[in-house]
Amino acid sequence: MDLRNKIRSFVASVSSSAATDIDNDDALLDTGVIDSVAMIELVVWVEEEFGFSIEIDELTQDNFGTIDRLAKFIESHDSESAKR
Amino acid sequence: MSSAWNAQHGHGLMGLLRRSAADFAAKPAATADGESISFACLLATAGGLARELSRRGAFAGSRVAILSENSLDAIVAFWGVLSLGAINVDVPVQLSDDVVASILDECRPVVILASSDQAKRLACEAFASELPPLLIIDEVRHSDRSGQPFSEVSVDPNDVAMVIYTSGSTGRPKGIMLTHDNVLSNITAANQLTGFSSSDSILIIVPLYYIHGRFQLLTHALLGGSVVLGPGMQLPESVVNCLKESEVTGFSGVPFHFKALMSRSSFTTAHLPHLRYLLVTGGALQTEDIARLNAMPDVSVHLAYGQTEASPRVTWAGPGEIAGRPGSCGRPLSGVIVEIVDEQGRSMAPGLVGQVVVGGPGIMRGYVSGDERDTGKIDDAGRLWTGDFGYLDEDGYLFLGGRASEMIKSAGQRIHPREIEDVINSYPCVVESIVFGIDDPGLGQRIAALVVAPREKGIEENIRKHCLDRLSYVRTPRELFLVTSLPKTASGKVDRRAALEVLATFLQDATILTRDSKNG
Repeated sequence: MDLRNKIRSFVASVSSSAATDIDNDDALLDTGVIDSVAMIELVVWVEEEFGFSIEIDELTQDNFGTIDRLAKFIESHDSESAKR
Repeated sequence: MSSAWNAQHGHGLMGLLRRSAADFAAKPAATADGESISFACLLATAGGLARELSRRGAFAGSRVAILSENSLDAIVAFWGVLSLGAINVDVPVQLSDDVVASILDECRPVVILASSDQAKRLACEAFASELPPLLIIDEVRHSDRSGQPFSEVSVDPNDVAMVIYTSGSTGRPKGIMLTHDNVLSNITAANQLTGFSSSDSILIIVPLYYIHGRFQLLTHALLGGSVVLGPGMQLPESVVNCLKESEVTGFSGVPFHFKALMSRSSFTTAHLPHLRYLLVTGGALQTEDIARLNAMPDVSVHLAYGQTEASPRVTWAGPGEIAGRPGSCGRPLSGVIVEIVDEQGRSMAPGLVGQVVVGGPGIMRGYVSGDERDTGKIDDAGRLWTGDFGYLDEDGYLFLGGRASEMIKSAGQRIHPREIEDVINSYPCVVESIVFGIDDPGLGQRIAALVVAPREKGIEENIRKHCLDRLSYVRTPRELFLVTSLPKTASGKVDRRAALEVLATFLQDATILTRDSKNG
């Protein structure tokens, strides 16, 4: 599955149906699509699914604010681990 | 009404703001998103709102509902209702449309004060066409330019000041009626223990419409201290940044908040020179987590136990008080009487486990539904049966362990299984269901369900989605298992104990059985 669709699928599993049609650049956090409990689950899911630890300073709007930003954040980790 | 009471408290809860507006006129009462409102301005703006409420038909003693997310507007609305001597009904806007509609139907407000987002929501078909007059707070707030407070309204200390809706034993939220004296007695007694002053301030991240938020707001109105409305907990570091920038002296949260802050932010290591106290309430934080908070430089940790029905604080533990008593949630506040009783209501000796029963001036007037005595929540002596189990030690410190009722506590929220079962059962092919709270290291408890429904492909996920559309994420079952039937007692009711055994086999976790038996 395409990374963005994979993220969308997880987001849909922790939020209401209104989020099923969520676009890649729609806000996830300010709009209440993802609440604080679901956010912790999203973070743990990313860590387990993609095999890296998320540092405290990475937990930001820039990295988690939209599906697109999160995909780019995950891809940047993939490319870092590929370099090693 | 006694003159002594008036001398001491002014005019009910409103006296708190009036006094702070006199003593600290120009000081910020509240700040949100970089905008502040001074105590004097808050009093005047609330006065303008009260005048508009009066024009729309509200009056002293009538109910006015507030539907709003946290904002300065929500704070103005609260004080506007109290300025008029009316009863503030807090509606938890996170709940689904049909639950909000049922709350409005039960409490019958004469006017609704709403944020613009909530006003749009009220236009949907879930709400009756004959809603009372609706005022959008933001519009009213900026329309009154008189700058005058509302003329003082006398209230009786035993008049109901506010109604807070929280999960109850029926599966629908219960409206808890608190009088001026209930709340004033509690915040005054709590402040005797903490010794906070006008130099204190707090970052509020919990909803203002629950008692946790109202308590923080009212305590700081009592002190002449400032409140700062913070961001949500989605990005824990943003809360830390807000603590830094706002330079508040205090922060209050439920265990879930502190766990998220400790695991996903720089909270315990950040430079927070202004922060001097933390208050943990709404559940037990593990001893090692409390130790981590205690290790923060110059920060004192307070623990509190309470229930909305008790206005809310019952016990309190100050810094270091529980060092030699790990697991305790402190001693009763001044004037609050805590007893441990057996099933007949007889007082039990120290060290023996029974139900925690609370008396004193903070005990609610009753539920809006009027069934507090029929349901056994309030006994003939006027005591509150909390539904929590525990014991008192020889020195009067309370230790909690287990719950007499089926009530679930997840991420600090009180949730009755019926709320969730009703939603699951409304899914077309579901026959019946049963919901439990099972221990969870992050949330305190999480929701698990057994559901009787045909074994169709993807049905578990569809039922979860059905729940997510109608409930918050915390209330949606994390684990959901299909079964062909639920075990029944001889009288044909669902046998919770046997059902829990079934759940334990699905979860392959025998320990939840011993926990449930402890919970009675």
